[in-house]
Amino acid sequence: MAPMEVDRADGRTSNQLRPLSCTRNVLHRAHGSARWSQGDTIVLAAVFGPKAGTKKEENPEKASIEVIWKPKTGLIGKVEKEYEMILKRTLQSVCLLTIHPNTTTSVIVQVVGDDDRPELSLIQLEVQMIIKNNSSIIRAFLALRITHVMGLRTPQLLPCAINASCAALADAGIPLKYLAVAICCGLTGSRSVILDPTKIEEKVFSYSCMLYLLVDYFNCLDRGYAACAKISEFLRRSMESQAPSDLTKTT
Amino acid sequence: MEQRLANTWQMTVNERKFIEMALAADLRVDDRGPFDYRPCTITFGRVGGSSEVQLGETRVMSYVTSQLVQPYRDRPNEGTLSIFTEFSPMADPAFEAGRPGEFAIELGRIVDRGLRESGAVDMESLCVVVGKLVWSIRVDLHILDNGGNLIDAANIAALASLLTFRRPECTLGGDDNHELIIHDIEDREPLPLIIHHLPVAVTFAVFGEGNIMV
Repeated sequence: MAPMEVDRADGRTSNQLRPLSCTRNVLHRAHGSARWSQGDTIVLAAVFGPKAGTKKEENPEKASIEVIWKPKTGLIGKVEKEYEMILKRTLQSVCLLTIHPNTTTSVIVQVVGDDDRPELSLIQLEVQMIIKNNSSIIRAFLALRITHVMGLRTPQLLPCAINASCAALADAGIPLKYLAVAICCGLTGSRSVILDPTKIEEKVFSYSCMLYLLVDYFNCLDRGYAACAKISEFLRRSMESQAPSDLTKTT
Repeated sequence: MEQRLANTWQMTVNERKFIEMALAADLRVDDRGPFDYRPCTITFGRVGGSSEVQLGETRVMSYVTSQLVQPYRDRPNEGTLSIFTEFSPMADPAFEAGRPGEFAIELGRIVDRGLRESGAVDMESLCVVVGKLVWSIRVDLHILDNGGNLIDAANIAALASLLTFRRPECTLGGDDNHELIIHDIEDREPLPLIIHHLPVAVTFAVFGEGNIMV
């Protein structure tokens, strides 16, 4: 049974992403900052460059990355800690950690907009792709996470945050191995893959835990891979267009 | 401890002396007059209740949410308003994540007092069922960039978001007229808060003998 094309609430096709926008060098105090928005999901990331010293449990022979996630409203709970952990692992694989040993780079992520309406969201299949800088050879290293998010309000915040932090790290001048991009794909009940789901679309997803067919899994990967290539191209273009202007931090 | 000290920006003696001398001659560091404000920009989010204020280099974001709760015992017919200030380390490396410092609490209290004691927000209109259900309004202030004068910027942000906030309409219905129905945004137009007046904060800094506004 082949998966069907789905009609989505906001008129997009199943492969279409929401409009992307990226602005860098937004804040004055932070060493690097970026504001990334995908439709109504907006995330602001700020980076404070290598500071002396690492925390006790970190390896002093490498740079360590500290991630602080600030939700839009409410206290910091387990959900935020989980986001911090995922983001930290992703960024650790992206940054060149051996260049500045025994330093801490702080990345602070602030959620500026999420799709509002507090709904329960169901299943999210998240594909994080790390695409090498020289795009002539695109070797994608897939770090696949299947996260069951019951009670989580906006799972597509995480890909948005990954994109924003990567742009902010580049803005701060932290040495990176690759530019990371991320996309969120969802699997609907009728086994079709939709990219970049909004919060309302999450409602339609079926509650099947770990019952993915292998075919669907790889289908998701392929779609995600293609979308990530587009996002990475967008990121590259936005960096190139803004690069000459931010040599001095003036208003 | 050392890391915290390393994060705060120390002013050099030369800079301090320069500023003081310039102020004595009525000159400010960024070419403003003594009573001039920096240009202020207020941006509103797509959904009501969120605003971002930029006052020169200072940036503050404010977000308002509402929830139905039980009222306080001694005020059964009034809603509640609470202000939460978040000094994120994004604004200044000297701010620590987690526990708010002294200044953060003070800022929250100043904005809170301004709104509460002046009676700017009408509390009685937030009552749904006397003694049982009232609306609780929560204002979250996020400081994004610290360029000075956080109190004024935070106050403007809180006011801007309160003015654009819309709460869902709820009526009593159901079988026995006691069931509370909260109407979806699509069914009925959400209602704005009733704001009687706008308390504005103005910060003065006093140097030496004179009186200069920052």
